[in-house]
Amino acid sequence: MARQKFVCGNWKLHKSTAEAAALVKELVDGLGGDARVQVAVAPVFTALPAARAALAGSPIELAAQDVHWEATGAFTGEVSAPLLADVGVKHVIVGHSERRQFFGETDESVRKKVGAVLAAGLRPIVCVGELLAEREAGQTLAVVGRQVRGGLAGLPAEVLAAVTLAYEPVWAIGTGKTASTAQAQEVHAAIRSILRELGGAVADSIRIQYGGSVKPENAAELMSQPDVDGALVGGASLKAKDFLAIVKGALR
Amino acid sequence: MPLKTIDALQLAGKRVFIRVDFNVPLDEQGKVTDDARIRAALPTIRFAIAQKAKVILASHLGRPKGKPEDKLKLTLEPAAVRLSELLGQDVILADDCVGDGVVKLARELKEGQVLLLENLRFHPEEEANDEAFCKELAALCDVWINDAFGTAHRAHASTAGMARFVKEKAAGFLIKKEVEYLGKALGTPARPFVALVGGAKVSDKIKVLENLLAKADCVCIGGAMAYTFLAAQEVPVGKSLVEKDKLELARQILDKAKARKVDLLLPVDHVCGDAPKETARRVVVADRAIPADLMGLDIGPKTLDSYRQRILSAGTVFWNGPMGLFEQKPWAEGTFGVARAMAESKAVTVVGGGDSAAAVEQAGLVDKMKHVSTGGGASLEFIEGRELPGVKACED
Repeated sequence: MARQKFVCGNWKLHKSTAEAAALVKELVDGLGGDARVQVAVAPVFTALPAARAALAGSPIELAAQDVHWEATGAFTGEVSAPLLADVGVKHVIVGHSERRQFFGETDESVRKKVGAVLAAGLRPIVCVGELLAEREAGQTLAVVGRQVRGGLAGLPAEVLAAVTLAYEPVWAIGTGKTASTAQAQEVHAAIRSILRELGGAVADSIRIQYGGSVKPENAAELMSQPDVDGALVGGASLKAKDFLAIVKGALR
Repeated sequence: MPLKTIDALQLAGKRVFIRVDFNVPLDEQGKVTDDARIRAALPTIRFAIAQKAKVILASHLGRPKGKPEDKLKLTLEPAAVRLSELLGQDVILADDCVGDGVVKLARELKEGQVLLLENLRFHPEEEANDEAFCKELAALCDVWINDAFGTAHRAHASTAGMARFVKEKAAGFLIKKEVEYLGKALGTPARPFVALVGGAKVSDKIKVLENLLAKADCVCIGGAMAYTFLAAQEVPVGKSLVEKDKLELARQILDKAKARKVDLLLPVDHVCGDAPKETARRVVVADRAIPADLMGLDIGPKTLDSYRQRILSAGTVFWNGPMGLFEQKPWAEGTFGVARAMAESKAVTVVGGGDSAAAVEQAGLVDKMKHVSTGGGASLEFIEGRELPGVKACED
């Protein structure tokens, strides 16, 4: 079955409320109501309301960059899934490599967050990916497999359909070899076969985004791969022109 | 102020960005045909590896014009392969020089590992010295080292601009060597200081000549620019290349030399031809004056001998610019003769990049020189007395 391409911009720690509103407005104008590709943006928490107001009436959806697994309680500093839903969030990025590397995110916390997101009626974008050292040691599929299984453990098949995976690869290996589109496809296909183990036929409807260094120049080629169903765009999503070009690349 | 160099910094565990000059010639198959520039960068790279730095290398290659085929033709992949052979370890090649992928690679780099960023000039922001681009490059590293002398006269993002966003910075060993030799040759030369200046145009070398006149004891002129000087003294030069609009300038330089008591030597004989071609008739003209139907294409044997004597009795010799049309065999003797004399001389011999460096390389005499500069334009600007942005950025 054909999966609709899904491109989400991860703005990371960038953009004030005014800047976020301005960027969203540029995207809304540029996209002009075209809904052939599912498009979302993930500003910082504080800019969510401003972004929400700016994208009203457009097909662009709102995403958050992280979430806590509890709904309420004595968890100073955290934001929960129901509160994200309250400000119009539809998708939540969970387990991004930067969270895993700098903020102690584990497969276990990813699993809890995914559960909380789904329970609040939101859709998680679950990030997986190996480190350079793991790629060099030939551990890519083992690491990615562990993260997918760990992050999605215990979810019933019918709920799995609401999940999007994002594979954040290593872009280079060994001497003079850049990670190729074919290597991306190889890992995406491996992720889908794990999803098939977990959820059977539902695996064919789950989108797997490429969370690499997606740019206007490589977007079309990457997303033309059979198991690359969109992109989780980092730096390039901060420039409207580049992000729109990537969305356009998803159409080809 | 003495130049701060890489060995003054603690590098262990830090991400060290080294701007190198891997602008190497490639053949049709995309193989490196001359790895001299890569080898010239090895001392700095090896030092950083030995100090347990996380090494991030960046360079430009050629002049990408933003066409899609540039990415295939002007990739640094061949340089990465050659560097890996020279270092005997893996070199990780990123698919770009900025962006999320590079950020992730830089972040994950381990001590002693080497990451080579893709061609900086794939981004026009590099040459534009764009501030946002400077910041993106700077965010990759803790330490900035410039070791690309060939681009030190350019204020590009990687060669100068990014330095202000990095806490620790210094020059690499190659730049240090360049600045030392070029600086010493001009600042405190062992005397007599003999400079040889050649090349086609007076206009290209005017600043160099002026600065050398203030420092050298003797300046020997060769190449096509010599005919403009002769013409300025109303010596007939036949069909030789003359910059008619620079005759007054040439006269001023001659006057200045006289006033400063610098021996400014011009050719006293010539090797001439009827055309600047390999197959042209070769005629040795044993006089300053050149017959009307001939053009001077190289210095003559008497001139070479007198320049040679100057070189052999010099304390310091600086050479920039070929003596004749040395790319063609009939007119190459003056240039190679000068190179051989420098090789024999006990003087501190310094060859300023470009064509003269190529001639020394062709003659197989690189090892016989005290220093052969890796930067044509940069060494000229240095000799002109200009501040090089890429060197200055190491000092702030």
